[in-house]
Amino acid sequence: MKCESVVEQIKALAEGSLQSDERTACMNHVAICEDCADALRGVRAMLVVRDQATVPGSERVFNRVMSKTSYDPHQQASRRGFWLGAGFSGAIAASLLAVTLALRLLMSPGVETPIAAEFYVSSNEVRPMNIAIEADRPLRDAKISILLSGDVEVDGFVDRHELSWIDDLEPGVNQLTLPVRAVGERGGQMVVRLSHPDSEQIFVVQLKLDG
Amino acid sequence: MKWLGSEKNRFTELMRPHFDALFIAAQRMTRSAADAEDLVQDVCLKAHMHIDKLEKIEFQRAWLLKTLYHRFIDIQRSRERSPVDMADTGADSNDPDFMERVGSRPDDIVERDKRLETIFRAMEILGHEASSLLALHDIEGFSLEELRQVTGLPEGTLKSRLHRTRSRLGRLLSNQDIHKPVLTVVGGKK
Repeated sequence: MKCESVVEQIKALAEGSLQSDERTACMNHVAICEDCADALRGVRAMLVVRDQATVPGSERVFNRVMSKTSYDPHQQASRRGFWLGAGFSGAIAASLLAVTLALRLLMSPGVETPIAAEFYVSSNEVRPMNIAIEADRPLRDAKISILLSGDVEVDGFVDRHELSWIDDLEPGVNQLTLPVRAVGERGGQMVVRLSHPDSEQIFVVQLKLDG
Repeated sequence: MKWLGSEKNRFTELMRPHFDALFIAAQRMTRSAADAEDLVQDVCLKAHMHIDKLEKIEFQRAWLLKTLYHRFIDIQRSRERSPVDMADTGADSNDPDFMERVGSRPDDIVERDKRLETIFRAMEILGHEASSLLALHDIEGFSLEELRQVTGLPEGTLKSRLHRTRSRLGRLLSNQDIHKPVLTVVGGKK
């Protein structure tokens, strides 16, 4: 028997479902072929994972996941609207500084020290807080998490203290705009965490009440 | 892009037929109902963002499961970088209801978890593409013909990749050094 034949039969061998003569031939080959012996060990490991006890997802779990994923249309539009796009030039980013706070965050390998900043919020109006995220390469499946505390909220997300989603970051500057408002007298704090298998960055924004 | 009121129903109906398969796959990897739910939610978030593309895909379940395995490997890698001790992320011993349903004894769970941690560590070393291909075939039961249609790779290429990945996995599992941290160059500043 050759390796090519074993490749097709090795899963059945590991499952114990091969006919006697095929099983014997396969085992004889595995006994003298180190590569196929390793492959058999690998398949058996996958079967250990496969054969774990599991329970099906209930309707309640399904509904819970769906409700967390499918925001209402207004919220969904707002969340998608956070992103203004990638590839902003320095000049454009600088012009944003004139009207709002722009935080520049470099997503490069490693865990960065948290950055702190201040932003003034108002209970009379929604103010866009711009965050420039500079990536030195494409970052697929970056996770963006926003934690809010105090008397503040992201417009469109009433009583939501935690927002998170996964998105792809383009090389260059990715502009994230969060519409923020005050909902009380105390101001608050926003923690933005960007994580990716290669990089992580956290920054804390003190949200102070204007006037 | 405007999101209409029917978007939620559209997405729910798209996900419903695949939810059990995703939740079961997530439990296999996380060994915890709560973590499985989080993992599936991450996959759903990604699916939601690509709903237009996903609706056009013939093998939606394969796409979703592949995304799940990729995400799981990312989480594994993140845990290793985290300063927080994440060692106790095995069986969900804080969820007696879950443990009763899966019917495992504590001693068995410890042994099984050690074995699984080693396997998952090896899958992480193998990387996203190799691990998910192997998992789709050997765990989820996708045939070579189905994988050929999903990946667009010729069957011969798939066979050789599966064999190579299985062999690498087997070698990693017989290597005691698998438990030592592996330093990987992940890129550099320009």
